[in-house]
Amino acid sequence: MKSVIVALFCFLVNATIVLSQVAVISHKSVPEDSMTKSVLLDLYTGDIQSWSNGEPVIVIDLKPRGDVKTAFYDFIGKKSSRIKSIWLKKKLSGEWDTPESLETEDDVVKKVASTAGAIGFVSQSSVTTDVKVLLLIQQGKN
Amino acid sequence: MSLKDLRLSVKQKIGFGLILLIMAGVNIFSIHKMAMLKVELDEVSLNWLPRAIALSDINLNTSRLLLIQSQHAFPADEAAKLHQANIQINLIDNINENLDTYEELKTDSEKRGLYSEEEGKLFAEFDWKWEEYQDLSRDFLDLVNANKSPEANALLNGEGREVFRSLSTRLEELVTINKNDALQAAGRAEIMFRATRNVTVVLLIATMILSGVVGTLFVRYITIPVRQLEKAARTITDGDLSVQLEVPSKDEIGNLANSFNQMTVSLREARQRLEHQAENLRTKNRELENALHELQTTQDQLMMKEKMAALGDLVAGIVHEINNPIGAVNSSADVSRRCVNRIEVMVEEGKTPHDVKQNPEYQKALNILKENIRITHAASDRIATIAKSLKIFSTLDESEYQKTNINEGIESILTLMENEMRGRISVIKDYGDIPKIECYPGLLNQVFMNVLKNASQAIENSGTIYIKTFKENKNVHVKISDTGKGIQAHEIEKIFDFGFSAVGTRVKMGSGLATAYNIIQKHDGDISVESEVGKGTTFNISLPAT
Repeated sequence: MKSVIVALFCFLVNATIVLSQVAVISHKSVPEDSMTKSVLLDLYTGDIQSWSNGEPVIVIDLKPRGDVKTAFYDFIGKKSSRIKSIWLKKKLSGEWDTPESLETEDDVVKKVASTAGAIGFVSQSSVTTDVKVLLLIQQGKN
Repeated sequence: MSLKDLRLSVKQKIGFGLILLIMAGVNIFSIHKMAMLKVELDEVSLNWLPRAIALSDINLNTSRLLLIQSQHAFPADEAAKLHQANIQINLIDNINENLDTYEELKTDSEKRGLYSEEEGKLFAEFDWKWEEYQDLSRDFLDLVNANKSPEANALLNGEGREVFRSLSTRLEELVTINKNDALQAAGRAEIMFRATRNVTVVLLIATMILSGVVGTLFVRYITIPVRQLEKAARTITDGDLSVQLEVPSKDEIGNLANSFNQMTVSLREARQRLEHQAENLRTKNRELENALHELQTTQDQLMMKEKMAALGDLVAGIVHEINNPIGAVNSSADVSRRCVNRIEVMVEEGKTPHDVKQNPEYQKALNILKENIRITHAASDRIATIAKSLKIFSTLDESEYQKTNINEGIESILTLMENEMRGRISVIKDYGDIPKIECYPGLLNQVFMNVLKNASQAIENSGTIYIKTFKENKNVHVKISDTGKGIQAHEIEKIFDFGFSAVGTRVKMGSGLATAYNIIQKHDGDISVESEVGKGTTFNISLPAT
């Protein structure tokens, strides 16, 4: 009986972590099936602007501050305010038409699902079958 | 075990150790406090101030950004737009650099726990507002690029201004916090400095007081006992051995006092022993003096007996010597009486004086009478001489110091001894021209008599006695030699001892030469003897001729 309770407790704890995972998602046309931290950083700073099949990369940002956003930017190693500086500079110099920042995760999922070459991040719970999950980021673990 | 029973070295160590400990404590305390001061000051100079500067810079640059964005909203040619864009890029770079600086300082301060939660919260809010403002700036740029100046302006002056204001407010608050922290740190440093100074001063005063106490204790435990010891030692030097020191403690000083007390006890005992021995010595000395006195008396009696014996000896000779002339006088008187009777008969026979004169008998009687007168004269002369000699010799008992002719004394003795030596010993006299000397004549005569008697007795049958007197340097010498049997070499060295007689069985002279030796010594003179067995003996007497 005791062991069952312990097992249940462990499951619940595990489940919480699983529930709070951040998913990096892309449009299904994106050829890549997985993603690394450094490539993700290059994509989000505009250093890589097209996929391996030549399709232009459309980066989508989640506007409100929260656990998901913080977890994502912590993972790629830059604070969102710093990333924003890079975007603003690149916009000012005309180097890159910088990412769009959307208000909700659903908007992000919809946008990614409907835009070819799009990439974004949401909490795993918001993921639908319309998008492809490239990477799962565990919160609190870098 | 109390403090005063500790060894001196331990006491010293404790005393100086305490002082050193406190001084070290003062130093460590000061150094520690200085280190803390340095931390505070470092915090101010290395953290809060640079942070405040970075934040002010950010504040300034965000204002500039806003200003240039306001200009950017208006239509302009491409070159102007590019220039404005470049300025904005530079400003963003600058802001990011300052943010880097701030965040580094923030991490540094967080490690030391000097970064307040409030500041962290404020900075997070600022960061969020800054991100929001940048998002807004991008929207603004989209509008500008789409040549929608009025909308762009509206965005900037509306929502933009609002975001900027809250961003600016946070920044200013952050600057204020850092400034206040810096001021507080400076204040704390000042308070700490004052506290440290006060504590240091108090500790130093405590050290001084403790030094005084330690010094006083040293005086009490060392100097005072040592001074008492010194005083006691001086008292002992002055001869007072009754000194006893108090034993103040069980340390070296106490041991010293103990030893000192034991020493005085030993000294007292030693002195008592010495006094006892001295008393014994005095008693013995007195006994010795008595014995010496007795000895002197005995010796005097012995010498007196000796004198009497010598005198008795002499008297026999002298009686004989006097009897001869007396006999001569007697027989002369008898012969004279008969001659006178015969002359009387002749006169009575009636003859004339002429006849009497012619009578051969008369002539014969007269001649005999004349001869008798001469004999009587000679006899009386002889008796007179002996009497004179006796008189000279009789100074034997005179103990007066007087100038005396030694030759005369020797001559008188020879006269008195004539009977003993006559026909047996021939005396050769060689009297020198010697001055009278200061002496006890009676004693000196006894010396000469004893020596001459010794010489006479040493000559068994017949021989010669040779007497010579002379003056040499400042001494008068008397040399008396005999041709007697001599003295054995082993006997010579004790010849002047009491009870020894060189003439063997004749103990009569037992002490004669010893007496002679004493008398000569009494005159600061010298008597020596040299002898050869079978050939004879020579006595040399020297006396100072004053």
